[in-house]
Amino acid sequence: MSFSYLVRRLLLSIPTILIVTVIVFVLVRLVPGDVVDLIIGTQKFLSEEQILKMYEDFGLDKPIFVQYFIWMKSMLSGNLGISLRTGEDVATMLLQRLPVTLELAFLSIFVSIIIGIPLGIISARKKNTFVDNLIKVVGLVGLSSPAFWIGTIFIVIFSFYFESFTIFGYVAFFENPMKNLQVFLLPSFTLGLMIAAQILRITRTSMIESLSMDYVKVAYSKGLGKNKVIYKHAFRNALSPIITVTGIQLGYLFGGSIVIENMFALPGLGRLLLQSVNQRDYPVIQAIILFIVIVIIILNLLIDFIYTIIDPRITLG
Amino acid sequence: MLLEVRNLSAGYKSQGKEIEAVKNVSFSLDENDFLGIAGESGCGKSTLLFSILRLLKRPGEIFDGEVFFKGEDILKMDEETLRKKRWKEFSLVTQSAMNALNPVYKIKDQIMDVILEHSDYTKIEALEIIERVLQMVGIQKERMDSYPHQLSGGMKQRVAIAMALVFSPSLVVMDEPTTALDVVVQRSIMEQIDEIRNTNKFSMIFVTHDISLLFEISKRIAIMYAGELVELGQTKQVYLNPLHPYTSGLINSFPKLTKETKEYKGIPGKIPDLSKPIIGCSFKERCQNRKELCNTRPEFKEVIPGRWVACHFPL
Ligand SMILES: Nc1ncnc2c1ncn2[C@@H]1O[C@H](COP(=O)(O)OP(=O)(O)O)[C@@H](O)[C@H]1O
Ligand SMILES: [Mg+2]
Repeated sequence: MSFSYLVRRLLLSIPTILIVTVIVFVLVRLVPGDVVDLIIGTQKFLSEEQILKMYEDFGLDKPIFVQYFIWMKSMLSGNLGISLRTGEDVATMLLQRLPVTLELAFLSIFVSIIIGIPLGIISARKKNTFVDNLIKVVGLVGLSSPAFWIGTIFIVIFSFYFESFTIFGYVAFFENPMKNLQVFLLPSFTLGLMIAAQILRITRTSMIESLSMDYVKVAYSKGLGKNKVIYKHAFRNALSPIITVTGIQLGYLFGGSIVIENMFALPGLGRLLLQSVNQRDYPVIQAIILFIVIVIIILNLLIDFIYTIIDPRITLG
Repeated sequence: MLLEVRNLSAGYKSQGKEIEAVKNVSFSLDENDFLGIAGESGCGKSTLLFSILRLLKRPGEIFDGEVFFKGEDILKMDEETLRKKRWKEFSLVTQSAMNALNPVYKIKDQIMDVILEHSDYTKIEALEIIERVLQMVGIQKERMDSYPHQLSGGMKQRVAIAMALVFSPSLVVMDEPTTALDVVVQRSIMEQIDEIRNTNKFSMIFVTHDISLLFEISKRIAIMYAGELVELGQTKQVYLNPLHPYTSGLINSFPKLTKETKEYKGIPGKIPDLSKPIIGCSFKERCQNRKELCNTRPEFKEVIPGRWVACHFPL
């Protein structure tokens, strides 16, 4: 990957960022009720003037495109703004929540990989047998079960049978690693199982294809051991689509899983996003979305780069 | 005797349907022999080869028969014993040059992995072997650092052949190795194989649907039709004096360089559906000499020493 290619790709991603941020900017303002309405609540004792003053302070009195340019300018200078509700620095808020979301994302992806890939490979090798059908059914259940349902079942089971197990109450890893992992166990499995189903599916399809190739037959006839044939020759060739799917899922997870973080009371980005939407805290919402867009763009670039490593036929630039 | 195939039947079972792609096939192969097997696409050539090498994968299955290699039945051997014999004793060159090599590994790594699997050579010694076998098929040693996609179709097929020869096995099985290549390249590869066979003795089973090519190059020829061998013999004798009407039809269906170009005609009709049971002679629908007796299956038997045919009324 050449430097000029990297620059070109980054330049090409600018329109994406602009379009997404404009849409979000407009959408959050279309939601009925704004931050001022929510602050005032039912206490209607403020004067018209005082209310106007609040709009002015928040910068919400200006036309929307002016607001957008002001916001963009501030973003470009590296200032993410302050929360309309708490006055906290948005960057600080994000950085506080980010470790939670990242840990959840990586643990979930880890779970989904160690479940999805081996099952997908077994399924492909035993194509159209009982084992394959069983795995397919399990996968289908995983794909179609909503996260809140799986999560609820986990919570019920664990709170019933393992009383000493900590389900809720986030602790940072460096404070108490054991407790931290306990708290993350159920949410990671809830998310991991769902993603595992997708990874399983793509692994199966992709492995079936590469297992049918002549070079796999040649590898067998070379007298290589089963594992060498399957992993070194077949799986290596099946890897690209699996990495694509995993990468896309990781991108979603970096944005924070709203349902799971709320369900398990994890103070991550997803939870912050939901809170901010509820409170119409525009700067926080916009910053989180911008962050997600940028992460996905970088992730895509990374995936394309990984392609070139695993497949010599692909070159970038 | 190097290889003896006895009453081999194999095919595919899927969704309750059974395709008998190889039916009761018997033949044998001597040391330093060169047997060509010819037959139309879909007549079961690949299935036969993969059955012999015990490489048939589900839904493929060997139904019956024996395959003796140096006196041992390959089909009954335990897997680990067989695995250790693979490539050292017999190797395979597959159908399409394009897919025989793994696209994500360098040429040298693909040859290296089989050398290291079955020998105690160091990597440096292995590299020397790789250099030597590549040279043998006319590929410069610098090419070993290439990936398959950086080579032409002809070069890839040469590499696949070189790879099959690293251990100088006593049997090399080639499944339409030159089908995907143009005629000129095909010819030069065939000449190369001939040359190598002069110095390194090995037996070869060479399968193709290109019967005119086989008549030119092979020592013995077997004609396959709808999963069965219908004729087998010394190539020259089969060519000059075909015994099976199908063989004779095939010989008439391609132009001959020696004769004036007159007409050459195809055989009317098409090969029967292998998923349905065939009663009697499988060729009878297309045969001009068919008689009542053809409704019973003709046995594949030796009619003249070295000449086998499955026909009630050989020509
Ligand atoms: N995986 C498979 N499943 C079912 N049928 C197959 C499979 N592979 C081949 N066949 C059938 O077996 C017959 C013989 O195929 P094959 O041995 O590949 O023929 P050839 O190599 O002579 O072209 C064909 O009728 C083909 O349709
Ligand atoms: Mg074939």
